[in-house]
Amino acid sequence: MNLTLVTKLLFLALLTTVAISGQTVSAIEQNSIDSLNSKEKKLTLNIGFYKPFTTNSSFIGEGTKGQGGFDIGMQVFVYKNFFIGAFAGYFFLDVTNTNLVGDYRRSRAFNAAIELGYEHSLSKKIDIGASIAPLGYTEYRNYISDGRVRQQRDNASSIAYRTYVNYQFSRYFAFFINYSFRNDTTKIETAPEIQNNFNEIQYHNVGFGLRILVY
Amino acid sequence: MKLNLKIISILAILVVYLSCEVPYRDNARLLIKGQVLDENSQPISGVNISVYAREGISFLSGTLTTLLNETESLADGSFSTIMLLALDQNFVVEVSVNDNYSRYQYRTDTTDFVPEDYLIDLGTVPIQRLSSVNYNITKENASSSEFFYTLTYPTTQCTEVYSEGELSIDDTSCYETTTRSRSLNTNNPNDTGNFATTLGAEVLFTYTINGQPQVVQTLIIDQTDYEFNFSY
Repeated sequence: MNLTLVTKLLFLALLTTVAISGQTVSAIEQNSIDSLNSKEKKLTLNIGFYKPFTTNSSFIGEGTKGQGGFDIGMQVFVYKNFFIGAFAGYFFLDVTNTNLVGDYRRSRAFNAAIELGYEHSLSKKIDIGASIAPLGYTEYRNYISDGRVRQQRDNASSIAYRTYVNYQFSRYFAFFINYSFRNDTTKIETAPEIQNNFNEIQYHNVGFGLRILVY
Repeated sequence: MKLNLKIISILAILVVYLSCEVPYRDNARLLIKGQVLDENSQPISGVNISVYAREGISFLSGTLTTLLNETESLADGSFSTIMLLALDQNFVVEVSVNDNYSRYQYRTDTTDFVPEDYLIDLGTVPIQRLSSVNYNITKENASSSEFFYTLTYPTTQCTEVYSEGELSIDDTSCYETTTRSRSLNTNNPNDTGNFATTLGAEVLFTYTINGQPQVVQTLIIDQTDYEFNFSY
């Protein structure tokens, strides 16, 4: 069973947990839910910071180390607790093994995606949510030397699965922590015997951030 | 006006400097692999394999090179290295062991050419152990007034040039033979010298004495330090 499948199953399990816990909670804390629903949150604006952990499933994953990243995004609640959203940001990788990836020092990657998700309130202040971002784009700018402007680019399409826990500390602001798994399918072409090692780059991202709620 | 000239000069130098940079192909990785065996088909480990591009000649710092990647051969002599694909007319893979072995270069132009399947397979790299040949020619016979000799032997460098994946015979130079010759006479009757060639090479020693028909002697270089003494 490969890591992608495990992660997808974990994600589905989380989604199921969210749904089941939603039903349970809705039965127990009906009053709280009614109160939360009365908020009628229409959209959220998010800024998040995260640490990407590359997996060893690819040469780029094995030969680099994630240094950090950030993204900004927006979620629009279109039907009850279902939302669509979009986010974009940068993350950074340091090359640790040039024999696996090529002789460059670091990468700055731009990632943007559209997501679909569901959010559920556990209490007045705590929400949990899950989303899938099936349409994503990542561009890696690989810096060959620090002193001079030398770059090479790799492009990828991405799909991401994200879960988060949200703590609302005021009417308009919330703090969140999240975990996401992202799979980048690259357009890198190379020798057939190592092509599989460049087709995909996978990340486990752990992060936190601030959420602005708009009613 | 002076300030403008200064600015223009600085900009011109900057443009020249930046234009020397090697461009890279996006979304591409090149694999270079091969195996290093000596003249007895025995693997050589720890061989340095360097891949670089020659960007051109700078009047300030000589030849500009960009190291693309380097690696070493394993115990079985095999090596492989992955790199970004530099687009340069002087794309070079150099295989070198130490001063006791010959040096090998693979050259090609990647400006408009992408190696098939993003792979350069050097196969068995023709590295050979070298021999240092010391020769000593002395005059012993008083009647020999004129002596002319030629030494013909293989060089120690192998440079294979490929054009769009095909070996370019005209540009390739692999252990080509070279000669050195000299005339000796009563004023300069003796000669000594040294040259490097490949171990196991056949060296042709051709000479004539006093204008007589030439004699060809074949030397088999079977030692890393080969001594050749000849008297006439």
